[in-house]
Amino acid sequence: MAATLQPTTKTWTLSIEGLCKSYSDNVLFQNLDLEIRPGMAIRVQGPNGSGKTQLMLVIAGLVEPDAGLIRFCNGQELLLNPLDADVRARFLRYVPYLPSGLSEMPLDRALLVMTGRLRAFSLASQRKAAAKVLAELEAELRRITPDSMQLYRPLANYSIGQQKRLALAASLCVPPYPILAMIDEPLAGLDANGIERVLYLLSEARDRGMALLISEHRPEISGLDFDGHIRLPYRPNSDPSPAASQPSRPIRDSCRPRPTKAILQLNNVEAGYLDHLVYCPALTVMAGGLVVIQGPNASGKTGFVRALFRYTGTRIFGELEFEGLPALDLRLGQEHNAVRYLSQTRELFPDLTVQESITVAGNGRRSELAGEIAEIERFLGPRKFVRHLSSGGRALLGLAQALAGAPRLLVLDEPAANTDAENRRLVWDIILRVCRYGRTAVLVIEHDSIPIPASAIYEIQQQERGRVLTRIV
Amino acid sequence: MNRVLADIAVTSMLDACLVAAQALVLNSLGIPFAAITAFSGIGAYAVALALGGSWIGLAFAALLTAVTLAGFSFLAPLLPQDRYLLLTLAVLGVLLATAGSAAGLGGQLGLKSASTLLPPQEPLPFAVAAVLLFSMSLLAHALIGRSEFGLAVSVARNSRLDITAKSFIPVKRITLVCFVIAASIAMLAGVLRATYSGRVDPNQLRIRTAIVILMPTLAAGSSPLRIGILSVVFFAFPDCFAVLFGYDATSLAYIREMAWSALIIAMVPGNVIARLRTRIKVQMAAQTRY
Repeated sequence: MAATLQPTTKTWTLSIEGLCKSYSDNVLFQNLDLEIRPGMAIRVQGPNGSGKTQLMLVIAGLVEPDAGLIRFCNGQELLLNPLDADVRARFLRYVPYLPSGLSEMPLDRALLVMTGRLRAFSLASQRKAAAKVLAELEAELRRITPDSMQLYRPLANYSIGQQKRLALAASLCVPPYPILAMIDEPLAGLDANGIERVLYLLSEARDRGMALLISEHRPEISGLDFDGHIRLPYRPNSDPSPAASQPSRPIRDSCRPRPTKAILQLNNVEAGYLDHLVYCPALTVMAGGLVVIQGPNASGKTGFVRALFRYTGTRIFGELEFEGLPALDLRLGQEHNAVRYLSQTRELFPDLTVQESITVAGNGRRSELAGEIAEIERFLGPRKFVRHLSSGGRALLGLAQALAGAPRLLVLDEPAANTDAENRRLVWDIILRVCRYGRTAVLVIEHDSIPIPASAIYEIQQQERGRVLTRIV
Repeated sequence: MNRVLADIAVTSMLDACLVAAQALVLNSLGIPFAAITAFSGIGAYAVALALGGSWIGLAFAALLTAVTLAGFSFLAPLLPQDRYLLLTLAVLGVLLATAGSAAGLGGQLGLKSASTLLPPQEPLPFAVAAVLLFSMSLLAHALIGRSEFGLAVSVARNSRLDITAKSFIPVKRITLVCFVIAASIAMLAGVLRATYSGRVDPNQLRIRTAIVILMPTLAAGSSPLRIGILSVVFFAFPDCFAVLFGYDATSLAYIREMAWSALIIAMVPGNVIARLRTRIKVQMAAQTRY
């Protein structure tokens, strides 16, 4: 089979016929036909939960379809489904939203895996193989991520934006190139500069004859000039989802801002991963206030916030006060439900239903935001398992879980990442309402501007003494 | 005395092989597997059957190995970890019952009589063979730790339940290969033990034996050096101590527990010291920064 598949030639055709997939009574797609030729770019569109990722997983051979065939024709016709794992890894590549499972690996090893060059049954030295791949990838990496990189650092210690760019460079820029790359949300978590670089990288891959199947909510992706679109409608299951059609609940008069109180104060704090520390002269988040930390990818935003919770590999020095009391970090507050941190990796409870996971996250506390939580719960479907949620659905669920503990401080790392336009509006609307209730302080990390008014905006700037968190608004 | 010490060397080395084999699945692949003795038991009974001329029995042993291996490997991503662990122990129970009740294998208690199989053998060749097998097991760990296969094993461990891991590596096949290597080591150890002692002991299929193998496996991780040192300390040292200083068999069990506890306690300060060292480094970095 491998001898017949010639990804370098530009005459092949990949035909998908009658592809069907459904979960219980939720039909994701039915009788989907598609013909892909070299250099084609196809965009998969649809709201969160419509089955975009599932479609790519089915084509990649990672999920069994209910029905349908995938034929590869290059003079001779081959049936590719179910596909041999090695052939699939070489010719059809699925690039997930985040390279899960590789987060604890040092960067060079993770790159070796992501390039598809890892020979899984070879006893050759992994160090040498990683060095070889790195040498080939060096120029591309410098182009796509100009920031310095340490090979010994685990992938998880890089920002989400950097991880995305590294994964894309590794997947698309090192031979043997796949004939078809299926890329899940390539622009999520990227700043404007990163988006430009990734779009350029995708265009280059296309010029090389690689076909692209891309799922992306962000409008900037249209700069890629697609050859076709697959539109997947959202077919909700038996659970009603009235939230989408309902107008936002008005803020009650009794929920107007109360007299404000400082929830979090940072003075002369230096925090982040040890080789990426960010200095913050002063930062205060008041109850009912919304403070935004902005900065480009790899500027150290996530590391700074993670250091407040003492994530592995992070350090924090300086003065920190939580609700007026000095504290070493925010872990104690987190343990007592006073602080909730929603990370971008969305560490949820995959084996619980939506309803159960929110109940567990609430830890028996009654939240005054119960209405907002119920709204998200209804929208996602209370009886749906978390593992069956789309990435956008997980973003919403993460927010509901964070709200369920009725925290005094809510720390949100790109809360609207992976969401479609409608859910993005819903997320920011809920955050606005949380602020207006006046009890909770919200600290948000974003690289874009946010669609709601903020009390203060801080930006990470490169100065003489290093990275400094400076108030700009 | 020499004969006794050589005997300890052989049995300890063979137990250490089981630790190394189990570490391959439990520590490297992260699967809660506690039934490595099942494969050494199957190996031992296969030798007994072959020496007894029962070639159908031998074929049955081969089939049983294949089915057990495939089952363990297939179910690893499907079952929750606690249920998987219970399943491995349940399989041991089933094998023990099968071995104990099969008439051809010696009736209720299996082939327990020393005369049933072979007369006991000279220890030296078996000591050499056991050391060789153990060295090969450690070599397998060292190779896996440094090789591309080891990196694939590491991906499989971190994301065995994650569908996207399969986009990087063939998780199922890697799991199966690790099981096959571990089972091969364990079966060879079982064959050597049965041939050396001249008998097949169904007790090696008991859960308590599995627990004895499990403890050093958990402590050793996947480092070949630690597996080697811990296995020798755990299995050989207390026995040698008892023989050399004249303790009786009951004391021997206590000495084993004492040695084990001492080892665990000795490992704790290692972590504390490492943490303190990191903290001092961080403080020094902070002082130079301000």
